[in-house]
Amino acid sequence: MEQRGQGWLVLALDYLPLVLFFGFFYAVPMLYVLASLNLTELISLLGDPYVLKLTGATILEAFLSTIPSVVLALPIAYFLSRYSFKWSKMLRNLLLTPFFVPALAVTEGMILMLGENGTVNRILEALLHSATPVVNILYSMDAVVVAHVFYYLPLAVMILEQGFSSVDQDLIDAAQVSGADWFNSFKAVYLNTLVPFLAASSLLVFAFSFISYSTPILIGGRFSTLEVEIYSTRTRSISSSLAFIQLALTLLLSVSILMLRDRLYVRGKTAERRRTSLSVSDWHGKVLLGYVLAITAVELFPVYLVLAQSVSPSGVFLLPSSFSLANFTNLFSANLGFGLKFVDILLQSLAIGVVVALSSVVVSVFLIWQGSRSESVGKVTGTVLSLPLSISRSSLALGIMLCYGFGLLTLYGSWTIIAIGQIAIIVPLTARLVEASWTRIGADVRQAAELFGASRIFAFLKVELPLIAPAVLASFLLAFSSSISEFTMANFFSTFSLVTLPVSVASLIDLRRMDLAATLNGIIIVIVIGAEVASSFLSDEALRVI
Amino acid sequence: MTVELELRGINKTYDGTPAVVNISFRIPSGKVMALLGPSGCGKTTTLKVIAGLIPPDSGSVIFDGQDVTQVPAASRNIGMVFQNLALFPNLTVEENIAFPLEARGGDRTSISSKVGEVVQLVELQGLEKRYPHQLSGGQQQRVAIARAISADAKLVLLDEPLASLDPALKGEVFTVIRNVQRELNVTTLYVTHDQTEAVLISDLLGVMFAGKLDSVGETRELYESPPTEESARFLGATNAILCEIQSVTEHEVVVSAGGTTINVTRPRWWNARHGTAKLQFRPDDSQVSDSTGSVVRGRLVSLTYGGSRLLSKVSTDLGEIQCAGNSSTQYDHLSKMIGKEVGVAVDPHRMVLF
Repeated sequence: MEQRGQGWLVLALDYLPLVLFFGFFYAVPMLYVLASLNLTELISLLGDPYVLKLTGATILEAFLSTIPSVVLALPIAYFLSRYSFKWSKMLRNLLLTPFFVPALAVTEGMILMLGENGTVNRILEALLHSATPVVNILYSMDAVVVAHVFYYLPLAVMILEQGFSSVDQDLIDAAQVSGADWFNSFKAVYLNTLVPFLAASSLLVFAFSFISYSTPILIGGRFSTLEVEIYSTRTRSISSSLAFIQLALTLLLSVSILMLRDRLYVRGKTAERRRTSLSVSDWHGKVLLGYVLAITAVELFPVYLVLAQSVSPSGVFLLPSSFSLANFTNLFSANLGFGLKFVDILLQSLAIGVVVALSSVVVSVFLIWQGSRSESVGKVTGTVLSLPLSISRSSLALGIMLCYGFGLLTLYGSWTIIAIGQIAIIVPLTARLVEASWTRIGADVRQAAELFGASRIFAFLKVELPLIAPAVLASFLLAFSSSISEFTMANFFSTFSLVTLPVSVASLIDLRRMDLAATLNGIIIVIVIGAEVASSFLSDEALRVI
Repeated sequence: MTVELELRGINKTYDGTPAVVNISFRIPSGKVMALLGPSGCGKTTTLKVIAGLIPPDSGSVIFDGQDVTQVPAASRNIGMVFQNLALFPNLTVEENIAFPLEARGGDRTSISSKVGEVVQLVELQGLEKRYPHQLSGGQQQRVAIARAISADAKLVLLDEPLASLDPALKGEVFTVIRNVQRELNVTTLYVTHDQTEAVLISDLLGVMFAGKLDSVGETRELYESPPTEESARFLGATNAILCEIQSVTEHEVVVSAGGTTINVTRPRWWNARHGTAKLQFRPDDSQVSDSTGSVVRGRLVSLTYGGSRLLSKVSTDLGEIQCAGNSSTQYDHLSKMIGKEVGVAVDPHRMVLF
């Protein structure tokens, strides 16, 4: 009897850190959302034409963003998995860049590209001798869809490339030796392996488009989404009802993604990668290369426009019309929208970034270490940490605001609440990075440490921590860059005296100060890309999303 | 310091599949036992149960008469060479060897002198500052052995220590293991799927199949007179012919096979007085012969050249028999006999009756 009681106690202690983490960052805030729900209002909202239209529009936008992202990504993923040549790694990194650039930068790039005086219209006006803008999609759902395709196509490429790479070359050889033609080999080998990867990339692009926040808020115009509406109504009770609906939908997406992920890991294991050199006579490869180069150029164009705008105060057509650092010097004297100085905003962002990165890394390492106590604890930890991957950030922000802003704690107006919100969305990413490195240590090495008399702490400090040190550093950099470019939480909790760089960028875009917005975006891009490149050098897993 | 190890009725199941079933054996202090069996038969699980890394579902692990089943792995003072070595990649050779001593809180001076001793014993001098990835396979194996013995382990477990080595290195590392064991006289359990390794290293031998200990005993006795057909086959007695029991004396069983009467040494456990039995023998104990000493006659079907070894296949009324011989002395002669009738001679004392 006593032994059984001790067993329960050990089990409870094993799960305690995970329960505390999940409770503090997710469960308690969600309970506050539920507690502030007005049931009658929720029921009436479920049949409300506006809410139905809003939900339908959000689903449609996410669907329309998904199809072209995945379809356009397929040939690129095939090409990258199949061919290697001198600059192939560089080309891949350039193509993937837009996904690692802050969404706000891509969104501003869209405005610079698709606006009435944007590059696209100026080119088309010149070509078609038109006096009025030819493309008029900015501030509509179309603009949001185009921006999402730009932003999420690299994500689809990454996942599908894993899919193509995990096709076992021996199976293709076996199919061909058995007399199968190209079509039958494709059907028998590629299709079978690719289906879950296609489903995963589609689901992930759909989920991320569905919970996208900064893009619809800045270039959606009258088009709104559930995520934006939760923010817009955050001071009213209706917000909780919308958050409840959004949470239910995004939880469903998260669970579907999790279920697919397990299948992907099983399939990915048997792969044997073989890349062929791109030869001069391979016209099939050369056509694909042309396609990949064209898409890469188009993908990089909005980012290029933002960077070019930051060093060209007089504007950009295809090339900067002038080159000057005036925008950067202007930052120090300009009104950035909140009466705060640039240096204050920069320091606030950096300070929050460092706190969030440190906390996320410590929490991640501790949770993964604790998860290694037993297989079941590890499995539950992995699942719990993966769930928030595509959960509604606005709903989470609302819960954190209700709970730690004005409820259990009164942190509203303090940087701490931004940090709490960002840790909640960043830990699932950093924990995955740490976990990937942790699992590579191997059970035997850990068992050897145990067998040779090491306590858990001794084994952790002497063996495990040194072995995962690169991943720990990589996750610090990833967390730091994610915090610096994070917009949803920062926007929810910003006040006149508490502003981060992305919030300031959004405010400048609202004020149509595209030059200063581009300059701030340029600074964020440099910080974020720098941190992410360093992170990817330290850990192969840094660029993995699922 | 060394202990007597005893297992009593160890059972372990994974997801409803039994991995180890009712395993019991005893290794007297200072002896080497080899646990032999095919891959997946439960050898490593048994080893990890002894180490305390896997808890058994039932049964006891006993050191010198004391039940240690509930004692954590860290407190058992066991040295182990893992199948994939499990060297700490972030530690140098000497840090790896010092790990068990540091983990148990030894002082710097004694750790340093002990590491020096062990390094000499396994002949790793000059490599102390290297990391595992800077060593050859054989050197890595020595580090794993050194780490297993550095803290004066009471019991050493070796899990397929030679499996990943090429043939040339196998001999070298095998010698190190044997020398270390002789020097320290430590109780050792050596797990392998290779019967030659098992027989060469051990005082005692256990043969496992499908989670069960099929047979256990002194190595020579078990090798020469395996108590079960499966153990006999795994120990190399792959030829089997049916025979009729004629008579049984205290020391011999007289059988007839293919018209030939054979006097076979009577196994201790043999009780049958009449009926059919099976004779098993190794290819190395049988020879193709033209006449005298033949047990059976048949047709020479094929010859397989294997360097110094020559394998002949003879088809008889009692089934197919493989004989091993010497290529340099027999190949030319036997190659002319293919398709012709030959005899198979077997030393009756090397035959096992089932």
